[in-house]
Amino acid sequence: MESKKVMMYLVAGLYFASVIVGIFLVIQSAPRGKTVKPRGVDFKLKQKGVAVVYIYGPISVAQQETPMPFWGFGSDRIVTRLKKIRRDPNVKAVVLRINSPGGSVGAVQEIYQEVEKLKGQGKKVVVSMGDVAASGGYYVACIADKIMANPGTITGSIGVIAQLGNVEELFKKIGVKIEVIKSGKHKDIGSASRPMTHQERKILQDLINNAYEQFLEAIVNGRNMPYEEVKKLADGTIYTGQQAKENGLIDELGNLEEAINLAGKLAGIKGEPNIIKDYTPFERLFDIFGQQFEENAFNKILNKKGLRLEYILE
Amino acid sequence: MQVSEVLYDIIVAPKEGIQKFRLLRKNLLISIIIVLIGIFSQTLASLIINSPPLGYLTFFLSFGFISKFLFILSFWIFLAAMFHFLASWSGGTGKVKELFILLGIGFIPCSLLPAGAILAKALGPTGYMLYAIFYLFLLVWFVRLQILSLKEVYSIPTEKAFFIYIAPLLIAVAFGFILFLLGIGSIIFLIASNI
Repeated sequence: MESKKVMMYLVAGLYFASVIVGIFLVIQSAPRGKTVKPRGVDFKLKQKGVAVVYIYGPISVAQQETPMPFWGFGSDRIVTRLKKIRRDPNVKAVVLRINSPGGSVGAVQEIYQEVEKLKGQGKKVVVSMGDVAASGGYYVACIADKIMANPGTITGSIGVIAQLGNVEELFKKIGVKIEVIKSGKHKDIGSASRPMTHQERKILQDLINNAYEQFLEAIVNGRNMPYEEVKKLADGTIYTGQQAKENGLIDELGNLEEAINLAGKLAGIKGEPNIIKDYTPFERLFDIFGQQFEENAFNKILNKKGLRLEYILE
Repeated sequence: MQVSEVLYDIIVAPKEGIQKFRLLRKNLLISIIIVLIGIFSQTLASLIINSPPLGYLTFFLSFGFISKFLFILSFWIFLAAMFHFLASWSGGTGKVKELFILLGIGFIPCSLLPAGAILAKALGPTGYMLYAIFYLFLLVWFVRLQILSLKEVYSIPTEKAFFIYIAPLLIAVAFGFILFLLGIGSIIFLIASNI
């Protein structure tokens, strides 16, 4: 009995000794210097750098159809991301990677305004154009400090378009008659079941002209180009990156890597800049499926009917 | 009977030790103290091995320790209930409270972790390798003590106690696998319906 007691006291003594030595070791070997408070699950030190924001596919306010309701590609998500970047002191410059034929006027203007606010905060903005950055894609780009494109990038197509169908004859053939009850004479403007009147055409043309003037104004402000010069280029013509550089619509030819380096240089970052990506782990996990859904949504948007003003390359 | 003697018996002759532990007064309190010491030892050992920055120490020792204890406590209650259900269902008779108390003594081997971690730190890379083997050894010891407790409380053979012990794990793995298959299936279905 006595030996058991002695043994247990010995074990307990060894335990307390190991605890004391352990605590001493932990304090002794802990790295000194600046420590960061735990932020979420990320314990790493965040470095200053360049954020890359991707604007891919047709731009629309509405979230395009994806399997997860919170994982969409609408302009709201881009605006939210830009807003987050604007408040992040570690982001010194932003590269907008644009690969888009444009999109709806409202969505494009919302992104444009957010980029303008970014610049207002002193952050440098560089655009890197991919295959296409035309119409609304160019609208978003023109506010940047510098625009870079590949020599063969499709850009330009500055203008506004609204397309309306007329299925009156088809309805007649299949025996469908649409009864319209409206509060005012222009409430069914753009109806597909009857021909457009001259007055309606004038209203819609004025609408298009107004949106077009807004586009020109955005380029004049963003690029510091004379109005007349912009108007000359803005007849809907598409340009290659090389042509766009010659006529002043872009600044330099180069790829995404060069755009990131230029952004870092403009922000005063020495050497190769650190790239800040703010993808959530969930987005990263589902990135592999991204293209699939984007392509599908692209077709759906192109097939949509109804009155919709678009800065888009057809 | 002294607590120190019973603990000695649990280490040297577990079967006898567990039988004596059942007869101890206030054994629930002793069991909880053993679990607390076990969790503290585990936390300290991981701090010795990982050497986190000084600023994190208070975070790990306070929040880490409390959250670990709460997690283990809820898991402890859940497992005792689960084992009781399975043991009763397979013909064993015993009290769930007694099982709950005895499951706690499985944490006795954890008290050796800080000493192992100190040695590992002193030996360098080889030490970490040995520490992993040591950890595995303690884990086997931990499982053995809990299976013996199950066997003692419900008076069932060792094989049955072993199957009851691993049953929740097997159920969890099977359930997880079904959930994984359902998740993958729904993703494939969604992709296919979008093409």
